Amino acid sequence: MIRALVLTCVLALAAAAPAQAGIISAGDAAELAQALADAQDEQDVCYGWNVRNNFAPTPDVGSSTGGPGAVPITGLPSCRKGYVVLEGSIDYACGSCEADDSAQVSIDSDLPNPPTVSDLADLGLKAGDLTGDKDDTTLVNMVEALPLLVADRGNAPYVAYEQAKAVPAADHATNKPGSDTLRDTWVWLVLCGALILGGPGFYLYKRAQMPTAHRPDPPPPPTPAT
Amino acid sequence: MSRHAILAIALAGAGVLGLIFTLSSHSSVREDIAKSYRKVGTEPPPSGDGKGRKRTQIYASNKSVTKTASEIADKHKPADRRAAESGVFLRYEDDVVAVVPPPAGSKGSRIFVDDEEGGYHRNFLFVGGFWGTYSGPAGSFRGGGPGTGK
Repeated sequence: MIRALVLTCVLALAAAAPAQAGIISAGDAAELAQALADAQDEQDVCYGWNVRNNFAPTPDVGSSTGGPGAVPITGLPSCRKGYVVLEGSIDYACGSCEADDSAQVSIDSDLPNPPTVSDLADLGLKAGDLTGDKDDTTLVNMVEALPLLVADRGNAPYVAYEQAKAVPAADHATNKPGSDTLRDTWVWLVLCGALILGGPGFYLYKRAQMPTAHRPDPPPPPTPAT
Repeated sequence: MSRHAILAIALAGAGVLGLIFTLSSHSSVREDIAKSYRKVGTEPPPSGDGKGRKRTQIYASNKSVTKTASEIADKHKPADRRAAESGVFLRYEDDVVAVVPPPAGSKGSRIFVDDEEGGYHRNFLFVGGFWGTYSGPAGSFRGGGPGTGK
């Protein structure tokens, strides 16, 4: 009860604070910490994230026990089954440098069968995406997937799925995705297209290479009527 | 007919046949899930029945949530995906696939296949703001949808 009150106060302060310096906004970090706190209540496992970067004075840090900005937990008594922390670093190369942007992640945990970075990759969450356009979404997904992976590996029960009961009438899906067929088969479609165009192209190329003497005689010009 | 002409026709023919085979053999994620998993029920879409709406299909898988989700995503690459504490959500052109834990006492996972609107409503607590508008507590736009950058 006391922990819930403290966390509520921390979340309220975080929501009122100016935007966090990392890649996740203050509001998103507060919601992420709340989701992890809810998972901790159901699983008795503490969660956190600590992702350093070379472009802001402070890293992306937060936990289920202390909210956003709090140093991740390691071995607190309230984490009865253990803890899981996503750690990582994001390095943006300077504009004039030849090196590419890079990112690494790892998982620190004292659980007997902890989730791995490979588990995240199986969900389509790769460290390299932390340097992309959707870096914030990728980090939120990585951290929020930890309770799911912990349950998948038998360390704790699943966090119960809850269907939304009431959705504001104004809220709806946007940015309709493109064709599923094209997304699934574009490689084959490009290959087939190349063959279809390549056949006639090959013939015309070979024909152009033929010596003039071997080409069929052009039709004679029409004789003007006298 | 010259040797080059025959080869050119063979190449173009292979391309046409490949194109026909690729397009005719491609099935939707909805069809593939129906073939691969055990159906356990259907229900009206969460945001209400209406013209053009599809009923929600519910399936059961013997595999865990993440294994089932990656199995589906490997066969049909989603336009967007969301991993959360109690499920994996895959977004397609017209469908939303939610792979979530099984009912208490069961093993494996459950799969909900909704149309776009139904999936957004059912999974609003997880995809709200990521795949569309969101007027929840944070009030901010959270991430981008397919084709959007920062």
